[in-house]
Amino acid sequence: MPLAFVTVGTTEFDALIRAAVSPAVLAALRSRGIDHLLLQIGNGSFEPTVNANDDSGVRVSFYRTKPSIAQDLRNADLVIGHAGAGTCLETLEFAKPFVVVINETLHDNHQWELAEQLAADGHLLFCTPANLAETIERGELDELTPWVAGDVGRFVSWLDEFVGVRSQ
Amino acid sequence: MTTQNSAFALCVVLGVAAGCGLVILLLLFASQYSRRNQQPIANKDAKLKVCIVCGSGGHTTEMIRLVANLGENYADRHYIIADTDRFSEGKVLGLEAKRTDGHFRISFIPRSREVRQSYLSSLLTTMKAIVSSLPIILFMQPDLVLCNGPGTCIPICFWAYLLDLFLVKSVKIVFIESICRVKRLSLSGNILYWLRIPDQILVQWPQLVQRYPRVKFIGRL
Repeated sequence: MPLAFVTVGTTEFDALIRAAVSPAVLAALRSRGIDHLLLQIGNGSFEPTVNANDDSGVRVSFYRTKPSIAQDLRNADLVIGHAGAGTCLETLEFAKPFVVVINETLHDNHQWELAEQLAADGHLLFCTPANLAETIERGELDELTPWVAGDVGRFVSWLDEFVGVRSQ
Repeated sequence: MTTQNSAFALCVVLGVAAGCGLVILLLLFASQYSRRNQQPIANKDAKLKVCIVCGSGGHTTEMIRLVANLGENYADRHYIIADTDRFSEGKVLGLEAKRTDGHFRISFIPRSREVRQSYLSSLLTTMKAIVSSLPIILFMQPDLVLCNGPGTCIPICFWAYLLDLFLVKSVKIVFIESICRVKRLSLSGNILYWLRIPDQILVQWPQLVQRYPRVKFIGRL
């Protein structure tokens, strides 16, 4: 059962949740063969209507938070997330088709800096709630560049040399 | 009376500002000309006293990841945590439970700035943090300070820097900028960079080196 997973992290992002259950996005999901939409809505005040199977052919369910969303990321065939750094980096580890939706009402956009760069490097697609449907339909979503996680070993050997406990 | 009072208040504010400015200028001048130790501080058998500043949330998570794999030379690990931050304390205890070498301690300091706190009231709490972190650093006399923000780390770095500057103790200060910072350093990173306090600032995106020539990129960490 192909699954799309939407996550907003510990914040609220009603505009994303509303967009995700809009007819246009449900149709776009269906066109990718997805028949289950699971939403993690955080503190949002908008609760999507849960349905077993509506006209669009996509089952919708949601929860607010979980200690770890890793299992849902693993099960997902498409991930749609907010631009939070934690969400971006955790999702990239699973190498899934990944759309990041920016919250235009937030002015503290240093969070976008990372998402923008990751989009420029081809690791994810980047959009606003208004153009989520067309972004899901884009072919590049299936040709993203896999992300190589950071290497702590680099830091350890650099520091060893820097303080002098290991010679160069 | 009120004019007198406000004139007095203005004088005090200007006096304090001028004093702070003078101190900063002196420090900048001193840092240019002092013989801050450019040499490595240890050899391969050294047991180092490491001061690890755990910022909060994501900062702590990144810091724990970095220090988890440090070798046995980093034997005396002293963690500094903001006093309202139970999350970081849990992370440190979790990490140290897996380690058998050396030993560790945790000290708590007041937080410089809570999220959404105004800049004015954060000035006061910052002063508190500066004062309370002095004895910690004086007694600890660390060989190495590791920090990655946010504000909590600035007072610690500041005192450690003074220890080193006035040749009380040779201290290496390393600031690791978050992977979130692609184009600009964070506020803490910027302050430390312009005051030239850390011996090294590591960044995780190469384009930052163009903008800030004294930072170093050794790859994504």
